[in-house]
Amino acid sequence: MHPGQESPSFEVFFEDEKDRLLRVLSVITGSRGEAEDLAQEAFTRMFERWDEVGQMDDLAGYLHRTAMNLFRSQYRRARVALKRAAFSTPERDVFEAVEERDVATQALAQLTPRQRAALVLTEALGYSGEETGRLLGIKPSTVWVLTHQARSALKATLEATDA
Amino acid sequence: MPETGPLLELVMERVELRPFTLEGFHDRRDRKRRNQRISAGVVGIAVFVALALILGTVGLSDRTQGPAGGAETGPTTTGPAETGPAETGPAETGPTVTGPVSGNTGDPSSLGFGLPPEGATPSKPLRGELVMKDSGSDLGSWYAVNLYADGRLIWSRQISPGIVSRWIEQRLTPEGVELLRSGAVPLGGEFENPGEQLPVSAWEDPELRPYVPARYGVCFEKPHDENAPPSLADLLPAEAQELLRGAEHVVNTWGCRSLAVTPEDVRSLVEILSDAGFELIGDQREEQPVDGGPGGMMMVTDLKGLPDIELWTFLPDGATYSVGF
Repeated sequence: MHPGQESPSFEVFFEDEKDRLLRVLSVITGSRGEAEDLAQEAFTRMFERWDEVGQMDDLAGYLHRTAMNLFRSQYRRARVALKRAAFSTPERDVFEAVEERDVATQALAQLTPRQRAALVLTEALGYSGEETGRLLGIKPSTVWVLTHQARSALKATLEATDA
Repeated sequence: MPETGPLLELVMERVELRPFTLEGFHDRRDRKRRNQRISAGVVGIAVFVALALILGTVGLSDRTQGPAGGAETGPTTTGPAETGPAETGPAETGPTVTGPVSGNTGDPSSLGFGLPPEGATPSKPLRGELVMKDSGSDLGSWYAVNLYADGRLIWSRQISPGIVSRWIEQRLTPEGVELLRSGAVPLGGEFENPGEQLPVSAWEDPELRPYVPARYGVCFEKPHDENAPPSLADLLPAEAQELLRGAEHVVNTWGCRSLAVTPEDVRSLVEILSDAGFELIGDQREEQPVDGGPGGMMMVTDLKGLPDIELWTFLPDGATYSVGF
């Protein structure tokens, strides 16, 4: 926060950021329910420390970092739980809701959550490879691999549809 | 192909959001906190009742007969039958004599998880005869302890909800091994330190050290997965294939066909696979589930056609543990 500039209230921040965060998380997870849970928890963590957090320069960045940390933990837990076959997968409704002719969305649905996360963070939110690596808890080289895989898969799907 | 950024923006705009209002946010938050308080209360009552039951049980039984616990717990002696209790009885060493360990343990949680430190010396000898083991999962508190004829006491236990320590190694003298094997001193898997009732003379090295397995298992397939390709290792990057060439083929305790590699090789493998887009899971405390035991890791991948890879540890008797996958 710049000197003299007043920090926004949590209420204003929530209204400004909630839709963007929900859309980002929905595309990454493929589930609106999961996206809402992650957004709820990310906002809750900020709300409970708002006196401190509210003074930060980049509040949206902090919100994204918090949400991505939660996504990481949840994704890892889910992978482990799946191995134990004791996990009920949340409904993947985001990509199913679109019509078949929506090729772009269908192509994105073919990617894994990690690939989508790497792509959304770098391409839609503009984070660098290093920043994305920090957000996802992986090396920048892995971010590159994931985005490369994602772009290749998207290209293949879109070209196959065009043909 | 259109630019990826605008394409993503387009897809995000098309997501049909459900109402997510500030009022709803506060309602959900209040509800969660209320549920947490209720859960905490229920757990508190359960713990109180359980403690009351345990205290009642302890009052009725001889504590030196073995560790207290539920039906799942209790040490098992696996050593030769001819070894009797005897020469060192409770009167001499006394289960109430506390050895140096309780004052010199450090915190098992600070020992870390996952890959051993670079240059760490693997536990020796490679193989060990298991003479006694104890494990249990009682009141949500998981532990496992193995005693070997060569004096190694290797154990792990839950240190906080959802978190278990990695495998910890201590060294006993032959006298210490005999005290535990004979039952003169109970092997207390449920204690903070399973050997805490041993006398000073029972310890060759009471220091808590991370157990560094001499071998790790690399498992490429789900147990009993008959549809798995015959050699999934062939699908790995060439560098990884080269590293695994010639490794011993083993089958672990849950039936996964695996390759046995050294700690250096498993470290290199993690490096190679990370560069290829795999992600290491389990090299952090937060990722250790309680009920599967410690020491294992998993590398997950999004690469089509490749399975997740489990990395698990050998104990000296050949037992295998993973993080519960």
